[in-house]
Amino acid sequence: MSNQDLVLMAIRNLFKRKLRTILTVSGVMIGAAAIVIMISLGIAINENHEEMVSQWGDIRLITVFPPNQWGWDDAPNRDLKLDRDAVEQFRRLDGVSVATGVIDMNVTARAGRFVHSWLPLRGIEPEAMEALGLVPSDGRLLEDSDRMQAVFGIDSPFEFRDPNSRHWTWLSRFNGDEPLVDVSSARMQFSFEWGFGQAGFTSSMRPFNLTYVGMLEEKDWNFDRFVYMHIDEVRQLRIAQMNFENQQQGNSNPTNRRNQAVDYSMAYVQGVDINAVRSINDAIREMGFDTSSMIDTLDFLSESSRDLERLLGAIGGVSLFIAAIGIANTMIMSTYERTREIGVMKVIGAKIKDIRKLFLIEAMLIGFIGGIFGSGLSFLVSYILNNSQMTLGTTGWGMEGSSNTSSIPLWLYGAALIFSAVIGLIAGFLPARRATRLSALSAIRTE
Amino acid sequence: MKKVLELTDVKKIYKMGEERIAALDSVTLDFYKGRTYCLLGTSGSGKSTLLNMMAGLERPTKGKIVFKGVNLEKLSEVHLADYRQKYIGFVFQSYNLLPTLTALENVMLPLIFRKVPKKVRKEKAMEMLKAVGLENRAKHKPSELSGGQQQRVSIARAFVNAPEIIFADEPTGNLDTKTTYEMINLITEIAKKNNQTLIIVTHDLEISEYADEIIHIKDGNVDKVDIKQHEKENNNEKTV
Repeated sequence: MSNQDLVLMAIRNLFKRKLRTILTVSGVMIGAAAIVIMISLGIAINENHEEMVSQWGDIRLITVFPPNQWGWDDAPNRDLKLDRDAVEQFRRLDGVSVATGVIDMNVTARAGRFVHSWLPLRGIEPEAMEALGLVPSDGRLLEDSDRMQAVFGIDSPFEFRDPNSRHWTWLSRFNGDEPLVDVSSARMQFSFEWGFGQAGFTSSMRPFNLTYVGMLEEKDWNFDRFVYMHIDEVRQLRIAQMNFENQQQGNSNPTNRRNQAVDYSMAYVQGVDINAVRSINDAIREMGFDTSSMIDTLDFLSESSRDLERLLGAIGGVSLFIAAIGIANTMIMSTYERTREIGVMKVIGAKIKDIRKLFLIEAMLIGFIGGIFGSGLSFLVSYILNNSQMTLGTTGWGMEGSSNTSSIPLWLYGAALIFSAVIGLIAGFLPARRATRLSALSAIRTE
Repeated sequence: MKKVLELTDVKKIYKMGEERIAALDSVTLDFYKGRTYCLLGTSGSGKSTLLNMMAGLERPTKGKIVFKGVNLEKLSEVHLADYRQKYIGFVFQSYNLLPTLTALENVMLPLIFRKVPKKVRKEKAMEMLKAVGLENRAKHKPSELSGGQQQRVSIARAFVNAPEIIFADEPTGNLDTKTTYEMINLITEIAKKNNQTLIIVTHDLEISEYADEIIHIKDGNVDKVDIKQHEKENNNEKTV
């Protein structure tokens, strides 16, 4: 028999026994929908985790710290430095899209009567800014020719305060506050001295001018509070700051710390995707550096919700298993009922494999049709879950309101269809075997 | 005349628990192309068993069944299915039409199993339905046909494949007398016209009159063979 004839005949046979087919298909539908919904809950949990974590920081970004940053004497790799060479090594790792070092320092800045007494100044390679996803909302990014030109992180202006005011208020973008200083137009200076800008303070160094060239869009807290300048300039400033401090403290041995100032405060390494980030993260740690990455947080969250996901999957699996037994039962009943028909078919020339295929196709069709309706049902249930106020407690972490309870990616529908059909096929094996083993003789004798 | 089926010392023993029952003791028979045979015997004589073995539905316990030089008793299930598909037509007592299919589709079924293209099989089946006088019932389901009409469909199905041998197992058992003769006439005519071998199993002496040879089966053995007079002379000439 040709496959087309087999399928047509199988459809006809299913159609002949409508009610039973509908009931069996319903079983598969519920089983398939159950497994899809259960998996979708798990996917939603992970998506929510990812969403949550990406609010905390760029998930593709790894922050690398110098080894032994906290100065423990027994730490290994005391000679390891986070310098140009190290960053070059990071860049050569598989899946790295960006690797760049930064130098951070803190200065005191003044704009008119307002003072930012702990302004974090970050030296960065100008060409790395765009690659790291820093986008100007006003003005421009840094250029290679920039010296004292600065690009402001979105949160950096909020820290300018009036030192003479008795009311200390904490201003924040998130409360809808406006900064006291318009950094794009104000004349700004900064100094290494902490008291700079305060009333009655006499400066013992000449302050530097700070020139605004741009403001950044929001990224995340790792980036938003900094003021960015060319890394070469910041390196010089850092050395100058150390020398100044040494001089103030009467320390006459500046060279020792001078080298350290040339190393990076930290480095950013960005992977092309999440999987790359994992392996890059491991590789850099292998080298002896400390890293921090949102991947760690995400993995921790995923790990903690894995048991729940397994449980959900198992519930769905049990429903589909019951549906599979339903299919097998229906098809076995069918072999009893159609004993005579099978016998006749054999006598008038049906091959054994025709009979087997016919039963397998019928079982597979039940599974497949059940899978189609199951996908539809799960779409509906998913919609209802997401639009009702029901939320599934994840791991006790605060969740943002926009997140879904159930999330069904397109592949899951496809997988459900194929899976249901395969389940049907497997459930059909036993009945098909029974059908092929029926003796044609005893079959046609059945009156 | 060409021999199509040759049985040599065929024996069939059924085991019923400890007991062994010999359905066929020792049967040696030759069947020739284009002739009509009748296996006549009472119920339990072993005639149906003989038919089943010739149709490749059962294997003999001992002996040889040779179809065109091929030993059927040695064929695998798959090859036996092939043999039935290509060379055998079957008419049953209880028609055995598939209830889900129309008359035309029932007739087409053997051609479907043989993977005959749609258009060809439809034409052939329609032709066959015409031959049995049921062309205006092609779209009817078996449940909408009378017993005689169902048997006609079943006859059309048996012949549609142009088989070498047609087996008819009590083909008129469920029909009234008038229809019985119509049916036997029809089946023998078609077989003669196409020079096909027809083997009818019956216990009805009157039906056996239509056959060229009547093979009497009794207690698992061939009791005697009656060859019709005009045919007998013919036959004698040829076998001499």
